Amino acid sequence: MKKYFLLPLMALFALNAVAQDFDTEPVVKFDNESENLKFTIGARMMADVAYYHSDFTPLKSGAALTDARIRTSMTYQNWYFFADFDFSKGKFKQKNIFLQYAWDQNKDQSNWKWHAIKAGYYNDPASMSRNTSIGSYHFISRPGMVNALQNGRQLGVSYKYVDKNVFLHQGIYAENLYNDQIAGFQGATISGRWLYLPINTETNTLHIGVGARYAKLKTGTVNSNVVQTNLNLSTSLETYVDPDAQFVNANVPWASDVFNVNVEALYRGKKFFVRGEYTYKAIGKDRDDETLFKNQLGTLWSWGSLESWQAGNPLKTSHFQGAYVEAGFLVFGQPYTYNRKEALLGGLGGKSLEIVARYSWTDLNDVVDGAYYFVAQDKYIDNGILADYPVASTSIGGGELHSVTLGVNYAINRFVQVMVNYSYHNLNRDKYAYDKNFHGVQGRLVFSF
Amino acid sequence: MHKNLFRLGFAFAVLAGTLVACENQDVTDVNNDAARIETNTISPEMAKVRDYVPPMAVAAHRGSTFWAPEETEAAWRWAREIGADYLESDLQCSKDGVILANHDDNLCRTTNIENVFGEDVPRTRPQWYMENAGMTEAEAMAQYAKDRAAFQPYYTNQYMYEELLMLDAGTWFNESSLEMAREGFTRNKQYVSTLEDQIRYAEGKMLKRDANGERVFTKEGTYDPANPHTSLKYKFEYVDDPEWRGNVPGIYIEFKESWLNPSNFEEMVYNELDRLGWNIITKPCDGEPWYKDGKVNVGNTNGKVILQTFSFESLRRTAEKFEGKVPMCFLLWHDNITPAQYAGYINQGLEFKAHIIGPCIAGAPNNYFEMNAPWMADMIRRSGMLNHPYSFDTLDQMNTYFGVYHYGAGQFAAPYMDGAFTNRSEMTIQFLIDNGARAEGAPTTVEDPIAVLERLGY
Repeated sequence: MKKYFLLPLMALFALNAVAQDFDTEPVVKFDNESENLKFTIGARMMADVAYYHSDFTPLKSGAALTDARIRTSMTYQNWYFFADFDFSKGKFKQKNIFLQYAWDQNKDQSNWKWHAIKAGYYNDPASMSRNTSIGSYHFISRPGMVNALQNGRQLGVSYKYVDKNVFLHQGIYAENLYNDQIAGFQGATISGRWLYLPINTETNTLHIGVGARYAKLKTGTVNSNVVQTNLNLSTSLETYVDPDAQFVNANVPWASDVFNVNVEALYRGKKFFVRGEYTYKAIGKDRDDETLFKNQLGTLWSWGSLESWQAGNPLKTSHFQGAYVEAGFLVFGQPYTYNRKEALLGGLGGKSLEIVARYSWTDLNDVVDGAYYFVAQDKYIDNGILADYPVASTSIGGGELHSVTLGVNYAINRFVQVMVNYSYHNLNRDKYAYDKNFHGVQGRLVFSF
Repeated sequence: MHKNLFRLGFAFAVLAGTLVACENQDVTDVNNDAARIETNTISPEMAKVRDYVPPMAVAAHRGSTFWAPEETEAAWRWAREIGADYLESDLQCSKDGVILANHDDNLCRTTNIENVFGEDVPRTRPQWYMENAGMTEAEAMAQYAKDRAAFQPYYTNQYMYEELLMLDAGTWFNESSLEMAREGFTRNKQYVSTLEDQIRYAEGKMLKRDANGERVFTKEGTYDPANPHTSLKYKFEYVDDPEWRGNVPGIYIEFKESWLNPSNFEEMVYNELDRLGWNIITKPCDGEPWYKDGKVNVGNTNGKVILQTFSFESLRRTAEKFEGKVPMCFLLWHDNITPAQYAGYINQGLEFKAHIIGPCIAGAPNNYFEMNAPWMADMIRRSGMLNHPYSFDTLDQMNTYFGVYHYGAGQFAAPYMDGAFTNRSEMTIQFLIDNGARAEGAPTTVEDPIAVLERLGY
């Protein structure tokens, strides 16, 4: 337990640290005005410490270096290139890498418009939370529902349009970053985020809007000439020190057509923000029944006809959903900012102190009414009648999680920030009948330049 | 300002300290997990039925797999005479509706079926149809052709009982257990047994045989392929066993995998027990002791029948038919099980009116999964169910699960069993006698097992 007292000590140390000057310019910058060319390089580190308390299944409390990133960018005329890479846990991981071409219309006028075409590997546009950098986030982790239901980076191209009252971003993406699937064509995704801003001033912003995403999954594993697709949805308990996603986890075999619908709203004032999203996800299935049926022929246990095999192995569309609301109050410091071109809330700028709160709801339970759950074998019987060889279940008990987080964030200067979060999670999952309540206190030290 | 910040930091420190002070577990510890899990508990009504079963009941697993060919007249007569509380068996159904006591789903290991019938429907089948189903030769051949089209060779349920009588269920033992081989297992032909056989052996009887040593029986009714399990009835004959010395054990009968038997099999067994006078729901045996005059008397008590199954479907159907009024054992087979999963099995057993959990045990020669570790036995005990582990072959296993080796290290009280399925009834009974664990009135000596076989004529 000795390591756990580090958490409040770290917070106290940070609160008593000597303040540094606020600096908005990149630290490492090459600016060639004659060529209209700018090059920057930066880095970011996040170190977390966490203590968890659970009813039954233990989580691994401790400390971890959760983010160690190098970023670089280059701007030339209308072109912008960005790339960043993560080295935390001693492993190289590619993060964003994209090229953007942007142009203004009616610059410096009231009917200003901005267009951009972006190509490369970057976040799916359909959600607000996913597009907010964790470095600018006001909580240690994104909400569980975002981790479970929304989508991260993907390879593609998109077009963005922004004016005073509208934000439109839509694109098309590939299923697989490196085209390294065993066989078959890749699937594809179309996705977009469309917002209306009835209030949009220097100090106040209100945006409301929707996002949508459709993905056709085609890559998977190949067994006996059948490609089996699979989609896994999961979230940790909104933490990185123990990132295990065992408690909220849904495996969806034969996933083929994945629809996301997202509704979002954000209000930002000088000292207050509130934002939230609701996401609904439907996953349609597809399967080569005829080949699978033929593959199982030839034994005493074989199904005798395609129809009987299909009746014993039904498919149904799976449905999941979730929502969150986040709010923050600035005790002192630089007012909250809003990035027009991304339609996102900015992070703390300079010496600041804020108090934040969040409620998140993630529902990965899609269980047929009346289904019997057999905990010893982690198996559902959809018709509720105990049997040795029941019809294959279409129920998915991935878990329902309610999470409440309270936090304090203190930016010592624009480079260094300390975050402290307390989270309570309430789990409803048949598989973890003895795990209902989880508590976690987390601290984070962020250094970014 | 700094004062406020200090207070805020202090508040978080207090919160963290509070959480640290709460009971928590750093790593998964199955012993602690098991102790923290509350299973459901048996109802008073079910406990009454549970208490029909004698303490430390010794169930002779298939009669014995060690001393005699399993689930035969030889094995069960031996088990009865050695003093087992129960004769254990596995129930299946012949094609013409005779309830059989036979373990494997197919007959290859324990009979000479591959030499007698091969992979085809017995060639005697058309003649059998003409004699027992009132068919013409043409009708019999047509039915034979239908049988052949749907035939699954060697599966017990594919054969008429008279066809099964052609098989030798004893000689294979002599060929596979050379040190235990006895000429008597061949000379006294061992048959694929019926449930009625098993019950009659428990009652002190043996098969009535003709001058050629073949069992004697008659038939009533006409076989109807549309009504195969009830249209033809066999009437078996028995005689008093001259070697019977008074033990009347109960029977411990297992419903096999549901796909092996008719969907109303539990009802068939219910009715068969009724017909044979062994259904305590219709014919209770109140007031009888488990042991009488130094002899086993379980077969005359309300604990005379214990049902058992691995099958979830059979568990449900047994609960529906027997309504928890006959002791029922839910058998477990699961590798790498967690306490939560184990509790799930216990709760499922209770939900479907089981009174006993039957976990497999580790150790040679079978080397099954360990499903009866001390924490597991403790969960069963806390549920109020009985624990009948399977199956014991060695003294080492007896010492382990009786707690002589202090297996549970004090955290979970021994013994880790309330009874035993054993292939060595003589060894298990002697062990329990030596450790003072046999119930009052139970026999206090065990006859030499080989002497028993010789006395019985094997």
